Amino acid sequence: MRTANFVLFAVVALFVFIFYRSLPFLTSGGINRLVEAFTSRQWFPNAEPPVFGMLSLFYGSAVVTVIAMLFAVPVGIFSAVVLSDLVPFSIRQLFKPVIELLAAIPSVAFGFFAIKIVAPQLQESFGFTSGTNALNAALILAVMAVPTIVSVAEDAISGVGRELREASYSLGATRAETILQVVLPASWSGIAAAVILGTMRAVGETMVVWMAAGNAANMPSAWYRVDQIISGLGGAVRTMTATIAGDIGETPADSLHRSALFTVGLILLVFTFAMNLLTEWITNRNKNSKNPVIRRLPNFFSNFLPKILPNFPFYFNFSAVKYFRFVFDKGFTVLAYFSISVLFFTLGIILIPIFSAGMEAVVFQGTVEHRLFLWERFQRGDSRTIHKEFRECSEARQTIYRQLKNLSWLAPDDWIAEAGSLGRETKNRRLNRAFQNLCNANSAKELQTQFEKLEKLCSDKTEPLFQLANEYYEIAKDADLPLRHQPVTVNPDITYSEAFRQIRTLITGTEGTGCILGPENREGLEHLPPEVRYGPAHWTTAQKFLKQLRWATVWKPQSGVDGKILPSQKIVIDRTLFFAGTSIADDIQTLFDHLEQNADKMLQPRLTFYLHYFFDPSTAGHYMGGIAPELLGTALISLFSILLALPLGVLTAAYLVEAAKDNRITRLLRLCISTLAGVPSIVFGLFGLAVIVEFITGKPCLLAGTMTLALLILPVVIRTAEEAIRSVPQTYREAAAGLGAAPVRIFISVTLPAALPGILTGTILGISRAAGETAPLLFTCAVASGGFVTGSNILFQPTPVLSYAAYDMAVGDRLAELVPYNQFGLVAALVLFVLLLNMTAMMLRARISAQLRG
Amino acid sequence: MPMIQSENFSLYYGNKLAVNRVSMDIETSGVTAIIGPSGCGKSSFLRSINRMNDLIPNTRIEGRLTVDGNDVYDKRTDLVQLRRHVGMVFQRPNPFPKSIFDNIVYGPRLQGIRNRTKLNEIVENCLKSAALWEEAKDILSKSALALSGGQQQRLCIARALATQPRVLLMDEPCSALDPIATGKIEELIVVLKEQYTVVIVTHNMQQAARISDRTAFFCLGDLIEYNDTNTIFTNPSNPQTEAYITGRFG
Repeated sequence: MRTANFVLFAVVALFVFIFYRSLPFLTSGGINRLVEAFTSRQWFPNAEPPVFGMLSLFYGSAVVTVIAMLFAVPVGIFSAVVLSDLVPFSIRQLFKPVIELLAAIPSVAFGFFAIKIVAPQLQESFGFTSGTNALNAALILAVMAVPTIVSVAEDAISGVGRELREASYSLGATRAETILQVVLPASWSGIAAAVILGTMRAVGETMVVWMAAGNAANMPSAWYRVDQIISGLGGAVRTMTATIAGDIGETPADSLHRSALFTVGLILLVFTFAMNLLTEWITNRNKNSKNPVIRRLPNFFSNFLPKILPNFPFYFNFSAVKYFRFVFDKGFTVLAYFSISVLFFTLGIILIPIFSAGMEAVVFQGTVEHRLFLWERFQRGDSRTIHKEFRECSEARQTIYRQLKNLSWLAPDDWIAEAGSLGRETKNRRLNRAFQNLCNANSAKELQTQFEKLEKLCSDKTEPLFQLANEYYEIAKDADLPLRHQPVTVNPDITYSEAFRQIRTLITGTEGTGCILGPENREGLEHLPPEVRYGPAHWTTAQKFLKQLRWATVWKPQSGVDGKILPSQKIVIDRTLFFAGTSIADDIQTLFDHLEQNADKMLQPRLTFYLHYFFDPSTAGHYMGGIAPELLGTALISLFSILLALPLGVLTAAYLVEAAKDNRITRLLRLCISTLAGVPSIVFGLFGLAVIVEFITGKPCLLAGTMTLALLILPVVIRTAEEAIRSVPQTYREAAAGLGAAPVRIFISVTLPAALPGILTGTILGISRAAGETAPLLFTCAVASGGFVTGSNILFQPTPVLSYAAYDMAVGDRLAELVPYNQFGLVAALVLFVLLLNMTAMMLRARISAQLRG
Repeated sequence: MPMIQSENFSLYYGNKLAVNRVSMDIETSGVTAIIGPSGCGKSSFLRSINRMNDLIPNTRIEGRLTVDGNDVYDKRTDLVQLRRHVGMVFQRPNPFPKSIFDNIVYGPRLQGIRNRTKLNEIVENCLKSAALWEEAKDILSKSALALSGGQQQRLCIARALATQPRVLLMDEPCSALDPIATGKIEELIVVLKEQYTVVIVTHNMQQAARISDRTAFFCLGDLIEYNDTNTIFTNPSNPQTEAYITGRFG
């Protein structure tokens, strides 16, 4: 039973190590350093000398939390009231688990939603310079905190019991009056605990604020003024958690900067502990005091109305009062239902796009290129059909390539480059210069002369170069050669030559990323990245490129007034307009028309089921392929961490139920458990970095991540296991004791088997929690993408995991933007994984409670 | 005219029949006791009179129930007014976790009375009527939960009286109390019947015999016998009633 002390030990170690790592910072500049930390708004850790003013970080955390709570608390409490008092019990039984399920959605999914969907919306609708700002983070935090608040507050409100409600109703109170004047005051300690829990969730949240809040340490000079705060909402803020997550990767191990970050972690830790003490104090005060006198809630009806109406005689039933009470009651009901609708509506808005877009990773319109990719890379599909299809498409493409070729005099440098790549025997300096002169010829006459010059220099050996020159000559001889160096009329930044190259790159992609068709000749292209080699891998992407081709984005600098520099203006122009009025306008128009008309034929979009998404590794940072390494990483890390946490958790729970006396140590132990449950996950990450990575494993790896997560899920396991062990009827133990079994024996042979289903529930909940966490893995084991962990030293390799990959894709590069279905697919897979585990746990729990009822 | 009249009144919880076609008239004056074994529908019937059963989902009624000539289950019935006029005292004392004063003025305040002197007057009158004034007058601002069980129950009675009801429903008001507290409540009921129509559900047959003027005997949802208390206890006409009051079943 000594293992229970492990929890104490863990919490103490958490404090000690984080304090130990903050010491260099705390002692570096004496009292001045501390004064600066708490009074300065300047967070310039990389300046010389560095300035560590944490005030703006505190402000960032506070402002997003407070704004979030302004939304979350009323919605949460009203929703809890709806579940407890307004809807029938059967509906409550249905919705309560749904809300608990929503509380389990990994935070990275919310962060993903914040930057992918909320940010562009905010930017468009409200005209913010950036959509990732304090308001965005606050809104998302509100949505995240609501399920927690509802769940805990509902327990408290339901716990008030029928008796008090009946007393109120029997005195002629309406439902609103009963709830506001009796039920809520009687359950205030539970509601306060719910609000504190929600606040802690918001303060400790890392991923969402890191992704959505913009991460610039801003703080209005008059931070106490409401108008300043509100106008600051449109700008970026930087929270404590996001600072830790964002900065620590860039700091050397023993730097002052890193130590300052540990100090921030220490402050978070102390804050959590203080909040837990507060909760403890509130609940105990209410429980222990024999005479709680609860003052009446201020109520519109009883406080305000009588002041505007004359006093009534006792019997006289003034109809206005009746009317106001009726309206107040109905208004309350409407407001409450409105709140819970807002809750479900918002969560629907978040989950539906994630799942619908995520589905596209598995079921989608696949182009022939994608089917070819799947065959060449993973041998999926029917080779003959795919190659036949591809041949047919290639035929349709020939026209495009021919048209491009006819216009290729617009890009002479490419011809020169091609000549350079010919064999060594043609590497004749004079010949090459002649070829360059040919390509650079600026009039039909000059072209003629240069071609004749080159012809004289050529011999049999240099036949290939001559062929090339001849080809060019044929194409260029009737062309409007001077056009290539003229600036484009609608976009003077580029010449016609460059405008043509843009088009060709978008179609064949020979210059790097992204293209519609890919290069004409597929042989010898192994060195090209898959996104070029295979063209667009998905019909969605192809359409995006078609749009990009058709509509060019041009940045127009704006002339500022009074010497102010204004951001350039974004203009979208029909790309054919670039060439309007020139001699090649018709050719370009034909090319575009042909491309648009035949895009279907050339790419052959077909409904494709790619269930192997879950079994294939990915290529080029998730550009194509599946998510198997991430799934494996997540599965391994959560399984291993539960293997560590389960024995510790069950033994601690057993100690708490069977052996602990109600003394100071036990109370401290319970406080430690609830502190551990409330510690921001990023602080676990810090601990993992400071202790596990540095002292035990030596580098970020699966084992380090596992140990960090084990600590994080320990309270989940302890709580569910404790509940399970406690619910084993006392009579079982007495029966066993009556047969002469010793306490340990009783526990192993009777209590534990009876509690096993409940413990299993805790296990599943622990696994799902571990699977969804991102922040603790940032510095302990995660890599953005990579292959499977393999081999015998599996524990000592870093691994890709779903949650971190989802984060990485969300904030990722241009490539990631091209594959929205893979971005959403990763998040959807993660959410699905976590929700399925939770649902299993819930069903299990429902079955157990059904069995207990008999 | 009787205060409460029920005609073929039935109550279902889901598909389960709790009260079966009960017809009885409850007179304005005096105490009417309802006795019967557990689960016989006596509480359900009592709670139908001020529609407290509405709080339980899936209840359904048939027949007719009137209080003072008004149909209780009419769609237009104002529940708030009904419950104001039909007060109720529950099995276990259920004072609000507020002060004694706030407990009593809860009902009047809902009706819009705010005048402090008026409220003080109500508190004093009600506490006196509930025989709690002497014990509670100095601790009006203390929490009601600090009172003993019997005091709490009398406080609940005082609280019910504060809305000036005409009928007082009591659902086994003494079952959670010790004999001394029970005695006090019984004395109180005998006084209260002068002013209010009192209907009391009780498990305790001696109690029914001591305080009631008329007694109704329920069994498995049926009203078996309803008569003067003396007649029921000395000369019951139904053998089932006789078996119950002599303790042969129940």
